Amino acid sequence: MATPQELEAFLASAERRAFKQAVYAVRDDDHALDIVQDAMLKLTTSYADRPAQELPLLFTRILQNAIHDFFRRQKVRNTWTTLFSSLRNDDEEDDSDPLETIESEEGSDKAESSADKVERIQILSIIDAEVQKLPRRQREAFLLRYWEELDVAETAAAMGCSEGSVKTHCSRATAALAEALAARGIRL
Amino acid sequence: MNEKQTASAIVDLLNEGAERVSYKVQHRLERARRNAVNAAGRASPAQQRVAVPGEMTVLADGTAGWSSGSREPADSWAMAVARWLIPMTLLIVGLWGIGKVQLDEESDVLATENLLLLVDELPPAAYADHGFGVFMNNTRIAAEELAGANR
Repeated sequence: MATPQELEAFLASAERRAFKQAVYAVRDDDHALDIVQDAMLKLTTSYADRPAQELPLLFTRILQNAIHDFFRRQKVRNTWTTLFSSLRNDDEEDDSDPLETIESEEGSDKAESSADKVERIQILSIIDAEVQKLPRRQREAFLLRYWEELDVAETAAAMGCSEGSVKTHCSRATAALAEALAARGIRL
Repeated sequence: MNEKQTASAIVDLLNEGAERVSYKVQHRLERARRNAVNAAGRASPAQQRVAVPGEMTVLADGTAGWSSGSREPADSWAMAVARWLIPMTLLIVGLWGIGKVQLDEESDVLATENLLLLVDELPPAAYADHGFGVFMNNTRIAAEELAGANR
């Protein structure tokens, strides 16, 4: 059984990757945060009795299910929001956070010049955009196989497909990303 | 570069991007993590999951595997039925209510017409005459305009 410290350590190591994966799928930061939050709660309330080495696979599966559930709920929600969209006043909300304007001075960023930093941020934005453009199954296979470091069998089980499909998706995704990045002038 | 090397280079960039999330996102993730860990402490043993066929199991060699591709039974069948049953019930009750109201209104109109036929001095055949209906309508409109002008 995983201890609370092991749970927290695992979630701390996985939360940002989980957030990015959710953003690639749903394309909205707030929804992605909600999905990750729900996945974390599900893991800790339903699977806290599992050993620590099982947590990565469990969390991956829970996160994928949460993303799929989000899309199912969106279909129903969109029906009602379309009907009531004329009643919504978009000017009322102000989500700006003054703390976001404050730059962090700590860490390796301090050593970068401003131009390098901007270039780096642009490259990372391009990577994010290209990953988002991938077909859903290719993106899932690539992220699970290479980013979450699952093996082929585990990735196939998480995606509900064959191992051959996983290899095909991974190969196509990698080739597509390499070609897209090369076309944007990014050398790997 | 072969596939693994290319993927590795891309993953390095993805990791770097993940480290550069905004302060707001970092804060929310940290708060979500704390809430989740606290919830683990509050969850009673009865609420925690027991092994269900079709879930991940740890194999003899220590690796983890999935016994089937089925999903965890997160939502019970009762929730799935309620998700469809409640809206359908409300729809049916609503349609029945609308039909009843319309029927009552039609009955009231018919009853009023029947009463007028019975108490009026004109023969019923007069009401079937189209020209007579137009005359009555024009008379009613003229009376309403006169009443409005006198106010």
